[in-house]
Amino acid sequence: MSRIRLIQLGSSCLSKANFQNICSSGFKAPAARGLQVPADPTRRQRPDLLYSRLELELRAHDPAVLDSYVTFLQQAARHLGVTTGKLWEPPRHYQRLSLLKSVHIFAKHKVQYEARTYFRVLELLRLTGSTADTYLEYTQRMLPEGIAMKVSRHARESLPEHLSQRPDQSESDGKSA
Amino acid sequence: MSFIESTVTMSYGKVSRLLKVLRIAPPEPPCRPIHLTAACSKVSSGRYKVTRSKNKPLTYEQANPPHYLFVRKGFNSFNTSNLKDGVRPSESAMEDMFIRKFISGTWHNMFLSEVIIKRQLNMIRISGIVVRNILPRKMYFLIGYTEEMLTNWLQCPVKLELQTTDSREDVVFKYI
Repeated sequence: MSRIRLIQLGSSCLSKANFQNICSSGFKAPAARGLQVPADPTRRQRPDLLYSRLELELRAHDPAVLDSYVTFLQQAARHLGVTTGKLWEPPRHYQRLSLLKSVHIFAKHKVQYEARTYFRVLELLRLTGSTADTYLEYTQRMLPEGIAMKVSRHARESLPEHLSQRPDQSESDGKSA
Repeated sequence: MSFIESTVTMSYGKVSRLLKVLRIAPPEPPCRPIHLTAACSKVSSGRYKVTRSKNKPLTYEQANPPHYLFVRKGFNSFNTSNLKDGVRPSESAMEDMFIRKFISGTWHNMFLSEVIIKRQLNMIRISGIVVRNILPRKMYFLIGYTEEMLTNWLQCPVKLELQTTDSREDVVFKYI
């Protein structure tokens, strides 16, 4: 009975010893019941990365589609429990080309083209790596055609050892002399 | 008779003045005109000539000239290659041209609308309105053939999403 209860609580609650005991005692593995085989707990798991913020920069030709997609992003964040930071609109960019209308001569007659790019940036705060991966996978699969997304991940690192300690006084004296 | 004889001996200036008074159009001297200034380049792209009998059908897309793009008209190609810092704009454009030529050649006169090409992730989705003038079995074959050939040539998943209609009048917006 205790073994079954342990498994129901989830692998995080299991100690290594308990699980090994269960496996060796002939307990029926989930795969035999037709379920997916769980991850091997003996494999050393890397700790989950922590991101202070995630910046999603969106670019599109059509501002209406961009607005509707941003609404979708905010809804998805709300459903998945992700904190949203600020949402702002960098200035739009128009690329204009003035080309000759005719194949040969007539340089006074030109034709003008324009390609407009609109931007939106959405900030997501304090995410774990797995949350970020899940959220991004979902939103990127639902990207409409004509919208491009650029993701910038920001993580905090502690100062490296050689910068966090003062250099030796004797070393500096030697160099100056 | 004497009047005509007298005009032969007069100078050209005097002749023209006389003819003006008499309100007779002077004979044009033989000449061949040449362009000394640039030609009057009127824009004629995407515009259709009005017929006498007013029976030429136009779809909504054809009825609106190109300056109505993004105002009354939408685009036929959706991709991110022409955005600022977009990748492979020329390759996308060439692929679009190829797809349109291939489709117009495979589906003989069956596409009533323009071919719409959407690029999402690594997939290409092609849509349009097709007339139902062949058996459904043949249509399924054409869909499979198009998807298979384009997937092989463009090296990415290609999906056809077609809408069918019975008659050609369904897409006509006006007659000119």
